[in-house]
Amino acid sequence: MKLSFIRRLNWMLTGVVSVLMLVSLAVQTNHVNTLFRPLIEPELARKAEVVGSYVVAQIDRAVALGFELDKLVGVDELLSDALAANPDVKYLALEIDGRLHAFSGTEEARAGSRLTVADTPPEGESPQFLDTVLPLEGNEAARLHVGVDSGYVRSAMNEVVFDLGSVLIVAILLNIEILLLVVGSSVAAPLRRVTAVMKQAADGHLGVRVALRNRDEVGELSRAVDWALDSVQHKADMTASEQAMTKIGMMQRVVELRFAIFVFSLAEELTRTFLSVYIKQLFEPVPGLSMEMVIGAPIALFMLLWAVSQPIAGSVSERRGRRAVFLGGALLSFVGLVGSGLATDLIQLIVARCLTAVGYASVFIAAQGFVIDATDPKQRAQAIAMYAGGILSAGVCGPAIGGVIAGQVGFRTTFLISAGLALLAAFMAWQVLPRVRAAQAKSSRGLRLADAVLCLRNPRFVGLAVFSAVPAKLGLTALLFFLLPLALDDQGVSQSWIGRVLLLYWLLMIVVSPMAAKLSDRSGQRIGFLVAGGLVAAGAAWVLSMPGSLGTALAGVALLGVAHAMLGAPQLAMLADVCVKERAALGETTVIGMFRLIERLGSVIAPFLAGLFLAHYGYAGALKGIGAVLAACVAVQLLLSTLFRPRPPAADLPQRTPA
Amino acid sequence: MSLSRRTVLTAALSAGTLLAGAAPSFAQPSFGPAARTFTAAKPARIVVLTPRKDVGDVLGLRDFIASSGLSATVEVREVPQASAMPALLPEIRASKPDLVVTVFTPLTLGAVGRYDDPDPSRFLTDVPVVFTSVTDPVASRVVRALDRPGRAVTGTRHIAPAAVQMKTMLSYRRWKKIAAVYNPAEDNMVVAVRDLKEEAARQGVEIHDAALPRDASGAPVAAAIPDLIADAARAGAELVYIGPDTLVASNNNAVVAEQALAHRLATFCSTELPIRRANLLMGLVSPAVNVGRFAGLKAVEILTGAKPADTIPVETLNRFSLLLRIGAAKQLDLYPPMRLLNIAEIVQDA
Repeated sequence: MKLSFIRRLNWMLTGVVSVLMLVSLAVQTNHVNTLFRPLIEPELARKAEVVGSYVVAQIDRAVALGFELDKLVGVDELLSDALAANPDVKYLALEIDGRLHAFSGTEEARAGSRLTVADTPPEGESPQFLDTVLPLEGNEAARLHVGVDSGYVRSAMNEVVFDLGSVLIVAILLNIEILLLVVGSSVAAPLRRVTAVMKQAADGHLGVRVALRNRDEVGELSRAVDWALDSVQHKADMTASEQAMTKIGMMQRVVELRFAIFVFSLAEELTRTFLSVYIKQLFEPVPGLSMEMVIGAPIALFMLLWAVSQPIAGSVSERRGRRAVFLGGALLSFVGLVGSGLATDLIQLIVARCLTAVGYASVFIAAQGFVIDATDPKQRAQAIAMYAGGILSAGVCGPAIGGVIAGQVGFRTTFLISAGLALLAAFMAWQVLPRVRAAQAKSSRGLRLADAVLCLRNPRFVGLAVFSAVPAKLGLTALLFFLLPLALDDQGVSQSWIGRVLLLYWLLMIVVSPMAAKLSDRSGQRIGFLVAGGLVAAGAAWVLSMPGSLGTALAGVALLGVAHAMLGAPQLAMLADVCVKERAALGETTVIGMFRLIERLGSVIAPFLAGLFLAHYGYAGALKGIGAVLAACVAVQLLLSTLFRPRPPAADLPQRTPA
Repeated sequence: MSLSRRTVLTAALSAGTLLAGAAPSFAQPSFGPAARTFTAAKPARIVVLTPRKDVGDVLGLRDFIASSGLSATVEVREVPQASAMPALLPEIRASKPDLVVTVFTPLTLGAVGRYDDPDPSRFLTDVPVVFTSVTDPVASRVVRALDRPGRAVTGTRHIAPAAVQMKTMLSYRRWKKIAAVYNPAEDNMVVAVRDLKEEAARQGVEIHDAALPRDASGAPVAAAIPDLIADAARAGAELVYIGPDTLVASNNNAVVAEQALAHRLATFCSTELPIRRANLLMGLVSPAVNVGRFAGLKAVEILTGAKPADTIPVETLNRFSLLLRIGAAKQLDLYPPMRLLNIAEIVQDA
């Protein structure tokens, strides 16, 4: 399905929005001094005065009781108490006759027993601190200095810039989602329907009608076409097949479903930045297990249930209809997310997460099934790519938005917001998905143990699935979903920043994946790509383990994004190459299903492995350990693929499923 | 952020343990079905035995009973020495009071004896007794256990736990050696000093034991206080501690204050009256009026039959006031740290 119209519109709108936002950012940052400083500085000075007068009142009282000011005991402690209660204040100093009598705060503000802030800063530099001076009663020579970081204005501004940057990325993606929805469903898809009808009419099938009810220009066009067809109908061939037309209407629904899936994925991604931290908060000791293992359990169970229930939900949706399973799954997730937000202990949280996992599995498999039902084999790959694009966009938007929301309203409320999104997605699907079951041409068979045995006998399949796909999922879950949020939170990094870090992964996935796919196809160096991607992922883990918090975290996450972007397309292409026999025996869908199921095991073991490493070696050690496991997998994969060289290339690319 | 001046020291100084105890309520007790009714024509008769009539405990007790709505007469008997008690008891027993209140450890022990005493006939046994300001009723064997006294004797304590007292002293200055001046003939003081020594060992503080010497007849010699303090100063003590001690703290507080000042030693006292009267530096106290009111609550509970006397627990108020005497601080040139000054009740020189 070509999206040229949407793409053009998107580039235009996104371009305009981006340029406007960048310009406004540039203007704002360049005018911090003129725009913001005059607004913020009096506020800061007022705050300094409030803190200062509170301290002054206590010192004045002591003096009023008859104590001599310069002999007061414990003024340092008094100052540090006030400082601790007011993190914006950088120092408090009691100065008598120009000498510091008591001081608490940053050492940069003083030199020995002298306060340096009163000195005029070197030419061209603005002072580092905003110094507020308060007099003390009964001693002309005594003053209390309260210092606020004048860089506060700039750092607040930087936060704004970063926030706007994240918002820009999120806005561009939301833009695409909404354009896809609006233009796709009310312009592109109807136009395509008109085109199809005209083609049918040209073939002499005059009984077909566009029959759109849109009340816009496209609707008018369709009615005009229908009138034209009506007026020539006396020559009509009434045997026109309406069957062919249903698929066109379905395409419109795929577009609308993408938005529902986007919203639904957003529900999960919102909680990404803090889920592991939240679990840690609810932690209760379990005898015989380390804390790290226990907090890994909810994530691992979640992944396990997801993996296990996906095939089950898939076959249920084939029998009961996609709509029922989608709605049931979304409602289950809603309950699970509400439960996660309200959980008071780890057991409750685990139960809630399990519900959510079953819900997610049902929703995604039902949606995927619907897309497959609704499309011809020709369009299928594109339609699935489009549907998967919604999930990726949510991966970028979710952590960024979720981090900001969690920072503002807390973890529990964010869960409730997620639950609301799940409900919203259910409502959209309720409207979009057809009530009737799609006509079922064939019922694809479920996964069986025998299938797994057949696949796993192929060493090259094992090399690909167990030592390339599993480590990729393992790396994603262990590093990005489990260890990194915990480690960053531990270092005091804000939820907003954790969100921005995680965003980078998905952003690179989106940007690099198509390029990597093209390159790997063109070069034919699939195994080379897989090895390189695997090594880059291991390198990412190693980079993440280096000290330096935010910088290394960003670099490591970016590397991981690139690595996984390199793996996606070559893995699927390799799968086709190495499983010629299996595909012939089981059908392509089953082989891919098997591959995906095995792949998910990586997500299941990841939290346990990461927890085990974390308990024994700390954060840096755990990140390095995961890196080592990833590197070892690359080695095994390389070994397997060299030992079992590919047979001479199959003459033909696979026939479709033998009936 | 607001810090009230006379505050709950527990909040500032001690761990939460003290606050964990149930806060005593001064609410009106409910009159259960078993309540005996006392009327204006036939009021309850309460006899109070106290070393002095003007102690805060008695004022608080009277005040609470008056406001409780219970018809009662409160008869205060001054008994300066516990040794006078045996002679007095037969008369009190014969007058058949409905309840007896005893103030401080010596008079309480004189009235009710030890719970495991072999000869109960010498003490009050047929009338419920409420004591007030008894330092350690278990160690003094007034009751078997604080939560279940085991006989119709219950009451209130007034001394902060040794750990809280020590923490308060050390938050003024990091003293290395503290002299405890006390009367070894008073059981509660022996217990208090033992507790203090244990806590001091935990904090790495040395306690200089300055027990009063005894004369030939075994009676403690209060006149030795100046010498004891001079010795303590020579031994390197920096602070003189006085506990809930009738002889030292109640009757000789001025001497302790004067001698400690003369040797430039700081002073700490665990009861209220001495620091209000004499030139002592600081004290961590339960205001006696409140302790007395709390005892009044227990008396009313017993008289109305709301609870059987032997099930009413012995309790401490869980809030303490830090008292600082500014004059002493200036004379000693030992300024209080600002943090303490902020939470202390200031005692001004008269």
